[in-house]
Amino acid sequence: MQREDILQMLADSVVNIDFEGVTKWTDTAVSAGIPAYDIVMRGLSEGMRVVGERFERKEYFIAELVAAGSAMKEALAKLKPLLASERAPVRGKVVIGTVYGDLHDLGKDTVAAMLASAGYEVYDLGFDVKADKFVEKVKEVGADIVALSALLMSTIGYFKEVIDALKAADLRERVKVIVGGRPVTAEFAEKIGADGYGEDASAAVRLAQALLKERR
Amino acid sequence: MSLSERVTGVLSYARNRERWLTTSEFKPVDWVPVYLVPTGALIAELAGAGLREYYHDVDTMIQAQRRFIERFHLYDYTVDQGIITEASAFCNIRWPEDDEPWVVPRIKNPRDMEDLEVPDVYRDGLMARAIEIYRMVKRKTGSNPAWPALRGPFTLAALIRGIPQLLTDVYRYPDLVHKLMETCTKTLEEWIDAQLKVSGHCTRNLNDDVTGFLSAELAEKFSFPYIRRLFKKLGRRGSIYHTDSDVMHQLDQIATCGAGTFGYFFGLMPLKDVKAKIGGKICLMGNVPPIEVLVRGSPQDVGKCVKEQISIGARGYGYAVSPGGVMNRGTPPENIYAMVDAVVKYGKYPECLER
Repeated sequence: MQREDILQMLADSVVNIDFEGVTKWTDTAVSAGIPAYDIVMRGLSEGMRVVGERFERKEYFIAELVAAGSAMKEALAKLKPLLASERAPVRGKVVIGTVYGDLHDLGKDTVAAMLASAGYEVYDLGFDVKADKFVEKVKEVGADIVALSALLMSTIGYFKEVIDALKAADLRERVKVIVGGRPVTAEFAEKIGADGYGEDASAAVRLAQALLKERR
Repeated sequence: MSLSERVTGVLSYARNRERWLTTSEFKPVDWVPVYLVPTGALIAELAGAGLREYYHDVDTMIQAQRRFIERFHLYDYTVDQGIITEASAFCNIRWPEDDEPWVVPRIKNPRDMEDLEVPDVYRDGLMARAIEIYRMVKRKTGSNPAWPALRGPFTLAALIRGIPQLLTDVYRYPDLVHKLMETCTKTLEEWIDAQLKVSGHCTRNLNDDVTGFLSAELAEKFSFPYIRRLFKKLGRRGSIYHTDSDVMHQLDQIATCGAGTFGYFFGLMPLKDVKAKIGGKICLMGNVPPIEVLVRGSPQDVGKCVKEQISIGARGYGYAVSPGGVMNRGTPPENIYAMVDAVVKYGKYPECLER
């Protein structure tokens, strides 16, 4: 079977919320020697992109988003050691989390995995994270980037509180803030004073690279 | 308008409630009713009480509710414990410093959904406490306080299992989800029976945000059969099915779930669309935005919104003005007055149909 076909089967399994299929085609992809980064981006994430489209068209609902996300998370856990072994030299330190009031961590997990794979040292604070926790971790590890995630319209406003807390702690000048999540837009990111917005995981990785390059 | 005019006039508590019951059966009323839904957090805030104290000290709760009743009238003493009354019998309760109590999902292993037992509603968790609070409030106020709203069975299941876990389980372990739903529904049935036994009345409000996360097909499999069972027990008249989720795809199911009234808030579900789809089948209650208008808006904004909602909802009866969902902490008292005043000003039949 061609590599493209395997990745397509994997993406389809995510779209169909077929847990067994996701496991089977992830294993098949690994056995076929497909790099873990490609399995995530062109298989799992591609499936989630279609799930997101169906959600936007109201063909899928939150249950499908969550269940497909769970299937993807199981595969991500399996791929994590491989992603680590494919890792490039350390490019910078990222503190990442889903902000306070929001329990959705799939997007954040994907970005964290992709950043780690791209060579960043990632400190994942989980979900429902308050501003002081971000500040504390940035201080502790000397982070270069803070990545904020949220899925809900009602919680993206908390991004600004994290940025304000970083300012209050005199950390804002030394750390870049990137934001993402389904309701987030570039305009919103600019309005709240973030340094950038990534529309998906690979955009977040590109954004991190560009921001740190710019800083150097 | 003075307080006494509000209280004794067209919107006295009893007349307002009777209007709602009548209009919910699509029978003529002289005025559009209004339904206030304050959270414990708002009631405590307006009384200057701490939220922990409000939930832990029945005298503080009574005093705060008395102040609310004296100010706004359209409310009655309620056994208030936030939203975890039933779930607390299954899970550990978490009491934040200044927020409503919450529960930690209990079921870690999906297999445990199978063996979960129906709790003793007289002894376990906050249901046992609610019974004692009911007795204390009754004794101290001489009133017959309302019971806390029920969680919908699927929402209760989500509190016990965790929302993302349950939404995944419907795909992975459908049979186990049905077992959990049966346990949750049986618990709610026994809780209703206990309320009736203790007080002679029970809550008829069922709050159910999580069913809205399902497709209509999944909701029909995993939630609505259990909801219908509960409303069959509660009866149609005076019962409310409430959700804050986007349920445009479930409106037909909601209209036939057995509740007399559908109270909702979701910004992308305009009253005109909901009315067009299920108006005439179930009484609608809403849809003044609780944050954008009631918390952040001016009294003029509130009045304008109520006027618009009445102009859409009043035709054919079967409509009550209400904040979409609940009135949150931070709602200025003048905006609550503005909502009530706007109902008085714009809600009189048949004039309200001419605007």
